Amino acid sequence: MAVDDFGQPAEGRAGAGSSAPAEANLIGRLLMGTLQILPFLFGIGFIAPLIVEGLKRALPAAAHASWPILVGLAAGGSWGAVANLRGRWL
Amino acid sequence: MSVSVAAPESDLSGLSTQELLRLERSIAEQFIGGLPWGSILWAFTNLAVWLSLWPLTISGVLPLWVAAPIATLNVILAYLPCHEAQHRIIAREGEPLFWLNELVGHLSPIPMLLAYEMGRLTHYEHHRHANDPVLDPDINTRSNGAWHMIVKDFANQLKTAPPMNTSYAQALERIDTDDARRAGAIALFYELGFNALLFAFAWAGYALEVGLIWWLPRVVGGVYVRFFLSWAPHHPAADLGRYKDTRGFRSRLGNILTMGMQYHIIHHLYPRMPLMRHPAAFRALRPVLVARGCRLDGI
Repeated sequence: MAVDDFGQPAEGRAGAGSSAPAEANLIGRLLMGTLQILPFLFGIGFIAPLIVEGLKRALPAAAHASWPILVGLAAGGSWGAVANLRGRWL
Repeated sequence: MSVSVAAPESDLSGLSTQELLRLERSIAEQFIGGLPWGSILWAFTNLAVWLSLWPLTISGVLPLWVAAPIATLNVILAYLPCHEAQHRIIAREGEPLFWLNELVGHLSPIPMLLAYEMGRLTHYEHHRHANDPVLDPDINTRSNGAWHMIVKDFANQLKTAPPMNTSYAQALERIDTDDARRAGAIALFYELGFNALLFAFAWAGYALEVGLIWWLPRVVGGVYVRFFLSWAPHHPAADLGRYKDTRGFRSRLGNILTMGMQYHIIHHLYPRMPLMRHPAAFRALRPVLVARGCRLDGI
């Protein structure tokens, strides 16, 4: 049965003797660091342009103005930062 | 497929445990094997439909209000072909079509953004430890009832580190093999890559498109998938053991809308049996399941 045939040999396990290159550790730390601030990045990366698009659709006069971008970045960035600190989006 | 052996309708309580097991296996074996073409076709069709939504909506051919529910359906349908691949139902390692198994496994879950290897390894842990409060990676769906599950799942998704992600990461840590570490790294790349794509599309002026074709369908479709594939077949998720950790159940939505999960008990007994044969296998095995004291709620 498939659930029984994926055991790993002992030599495939982590632990003694494994010496990961320093570059790999650095990349790993960078990735994990990025993951830790992902809510904030999500705020400025996704929520902000979503707000911008919403404002431009709701207020046609704002279509060519730059203030919706500032509003989007402020609102999205703040929301993401608070979510990052609290661990919750709402 | 022709079935030559089915459990007799009569009372099987007189059979010994070993006799019951022999009868059960002789019946189940008839439903295992062969190429599940339906699942393969399902995988590629579903992915093709989801991919086509991008140019169709961005070019304005398809309105977003039409695309969003289709994308949600795509997310819901994305998991099960991958699940067949996880159990090597299409082909096992060393067989000529193993490449197809892996192709389906990797490509099918793209709409829901599940990294295949992480899904496979953590799903094996679910099979080994179904309903275990510590070791089952899917135990987060355990809830008091259907509405509680739905509310709880949405609430979990409001957390910046959803418990389902955490429990999968913990399961990979417990497995602690090179494969598990690689699977974890790939899942991390998936998560970061997904967010990078999301941000790129959004700042390029397609925030609504990417939000309604990928982000929101993942949230809503994810609840549907976890409801029917995890919560419903294991509810109340209190018992452990081969004949106790999964139940049969009758849903008002029927077999298709529950994606065959009314018969999920068959899958936990015989993980390499193709999904589309579960209803027939269930009917053939039902007297054995009754004799084993399985929970068959209305089915």
